[in-house]
Amino acid sequence: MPAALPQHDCSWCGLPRRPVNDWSDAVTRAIGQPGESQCPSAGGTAFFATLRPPSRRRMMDSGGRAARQATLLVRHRVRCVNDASHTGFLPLRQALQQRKPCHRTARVNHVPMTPPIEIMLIAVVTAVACTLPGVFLVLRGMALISDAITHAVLLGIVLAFFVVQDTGSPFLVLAAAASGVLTVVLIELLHRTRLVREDAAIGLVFPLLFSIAVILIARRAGDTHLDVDAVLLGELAFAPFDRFAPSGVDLGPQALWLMGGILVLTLVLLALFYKELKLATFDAALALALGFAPGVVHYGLVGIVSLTAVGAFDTVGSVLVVALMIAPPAAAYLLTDRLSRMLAVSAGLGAFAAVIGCLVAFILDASIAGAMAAMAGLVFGLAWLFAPERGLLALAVRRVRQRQEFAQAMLAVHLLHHEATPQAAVECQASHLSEHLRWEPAFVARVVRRAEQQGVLINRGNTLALTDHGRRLAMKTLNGELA
Amino acid sequence: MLMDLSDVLQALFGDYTLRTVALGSALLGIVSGALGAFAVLRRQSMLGDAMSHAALPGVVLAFIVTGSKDPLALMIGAALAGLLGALLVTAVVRTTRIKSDSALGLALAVFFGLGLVLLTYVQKLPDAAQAGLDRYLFGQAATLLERDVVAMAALGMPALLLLALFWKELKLLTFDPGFATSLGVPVHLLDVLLTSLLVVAIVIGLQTVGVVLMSALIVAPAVAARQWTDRLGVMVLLSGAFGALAGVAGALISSTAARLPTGPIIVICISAIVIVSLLLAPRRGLVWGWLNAGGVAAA
Repeated sequence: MPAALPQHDCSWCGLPRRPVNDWSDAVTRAIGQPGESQCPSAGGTAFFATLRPPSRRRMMDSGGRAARQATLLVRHRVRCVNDASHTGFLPLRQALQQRKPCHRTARVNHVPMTPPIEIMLIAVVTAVACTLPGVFLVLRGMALISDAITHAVLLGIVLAFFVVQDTGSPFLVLAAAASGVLTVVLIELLHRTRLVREDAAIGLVFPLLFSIAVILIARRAGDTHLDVDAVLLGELAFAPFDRFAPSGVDLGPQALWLMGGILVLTLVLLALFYKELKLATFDAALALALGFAPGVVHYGLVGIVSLTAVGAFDTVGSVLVVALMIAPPAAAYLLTDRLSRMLAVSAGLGAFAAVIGCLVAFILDASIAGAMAAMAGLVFGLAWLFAPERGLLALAVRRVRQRQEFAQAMLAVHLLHHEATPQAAVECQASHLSEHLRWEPAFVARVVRRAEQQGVLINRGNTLALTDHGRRLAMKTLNGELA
Repeated sequence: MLMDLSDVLQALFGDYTLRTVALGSALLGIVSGALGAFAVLRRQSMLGDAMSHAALPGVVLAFIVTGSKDPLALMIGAALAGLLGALLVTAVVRTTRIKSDSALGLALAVFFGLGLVLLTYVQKLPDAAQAGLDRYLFGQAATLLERDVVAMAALGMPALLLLALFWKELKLLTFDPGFATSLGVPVHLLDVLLTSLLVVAIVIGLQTVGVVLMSALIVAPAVAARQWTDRLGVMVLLSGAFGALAGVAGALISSTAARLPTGPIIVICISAIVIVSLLLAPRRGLVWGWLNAGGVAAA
């Protein structure tokens, strides 16, 4: 049984709570005054000393974010000391670089998966869980609703937290998901007054709800780990520190279980209601006529999106959930025409972006969620350029080929028209074409060369003569049989 | 009460910091309100959201390139990135079957993610000069300096001037682009002009409101103003006025207490104006509709 932390005002350093005036105060509170040991782990100052000088300076310089990191790190360290089931605290930097892990106590039960792997696993699960509902958002033209939901979910989290005072409570997740649904209802109500268009309604509702939430957090900063920056950014690097350990057995990071659960739920619902979702997405009117209640499907989707947004909130933050929900499905939309394939492809692309994003973030020592979003964007960019049928490259190639084929048909018709007429000697000269058809000489040369290669005509010196195949082509064109 | 008011006025005009902050916020409100009117009428409300998020990597890149936090340089970087985002959105919609909502969401989130990567990367550089870049996320009106306000004016005033100069053309573009094309008005160029002006409004707001909530300042004043009038000219003026009012009120309120971030407070102020407008505006107001319905039911 893990020993409970001593019940003081502050759950981890035992000091009476006092208002935090600025970041330096927060850092001091978290890591202790130099020379003193205020935390039960007695490690505050020592922890600060273990940081490399750039990090130390960064912590002094960059304000709230660093203070929060310090707070979190110390808290985990304390939990590690007091909680026998905890698997040991790894200082972030060392953990990420897989240097020697710093197990502070001998009471470590087992060595967990290394954090980078755990982080990647969480990232992949989160990405896949986001892309599945995202496919339907993209297809149904609701992408910006996801933006609204992911922001508004924060208000639910904050309000619920004020009630239950526990960030781990499942009530929090439910309240937040409910606030996501509420946002969509509000947007639709506002839209239905016919005073405001839908896009403007979205742009009105979520900033307001988000602002209220941010102000509530800012007013109570220091009491909660919901910090203003953390709200938006999330920090996947911290996810492995929150362990899921019922009855003292460490089963891996909490975030993995949460997102895994949401993913499984999404998959189950998707399997159960695949037909209904498909119909409501592609033909809402028919779905309604057949009695499938597209409204229920709509709000079911909104509910799942909200739930996913809440789950992903701590790890990737609100804006980047949008990236994972939209970018991979949008890329998949360019790659395939089947819904089932689109789901599979976007899940794959999402997972790929997550893994590459994590690696890039480790190398740059930058925001993991941000790197995942940027990679998702890169994946979309590649699909946009190189998609086999709908990519920009394919479009350009097709356009060139169509131009070529059209020119060839024109040429064949032109030759057929003048074949065996007195003008043939003049009109059927390659050098005459640029004048007659207003083609650039270079283009004429290209068209003639290709037409010759394809057996449409024979180039005798300067005079062009149609082959049988060319005559058939010209007739077909004249009869309008050539698309 | 009178005492309070005079205190506030005294503070507003006497206190250097507060004066700067209020001036900056008012400027922001006017520009974003006036230009937002066009965005809302053209159903491009969320374009502002996308562009303001897209501006973040521009801010950080401008810092990396110039190595300074000169407001004008950062604003230009932000404007270029925002414009690039808008152009990409247009290009995606034009060349693929992806709808504009997905394209907007894509640009918004991906650029923002890129901005975060750059921001966190820059924060880890040994050079301490980057401190404070993260205020572009939520904005901090309290840190506005005179040079910031000057930079805002240097960008905002020409934008308003251009708006006035091309008033007739932009009005035509907004209400009947097809007719505008048939008259030989360069619709595409005007479209780019209007988008660029919107980017200017956004860039001005970044320092005060931050990238996340900037969209509200584009959309909300315009929606509020729309309820009171059917004339474009009046709407643009009203929208600018509402924006300025909310900006100043928000800046003042957030300066009264610690830990009241300016951006969210301004958003709440402007949302209050919207709610009042939706409920009480003459003719369109919801309250009149409810009263009428009640009267009909009673009769």
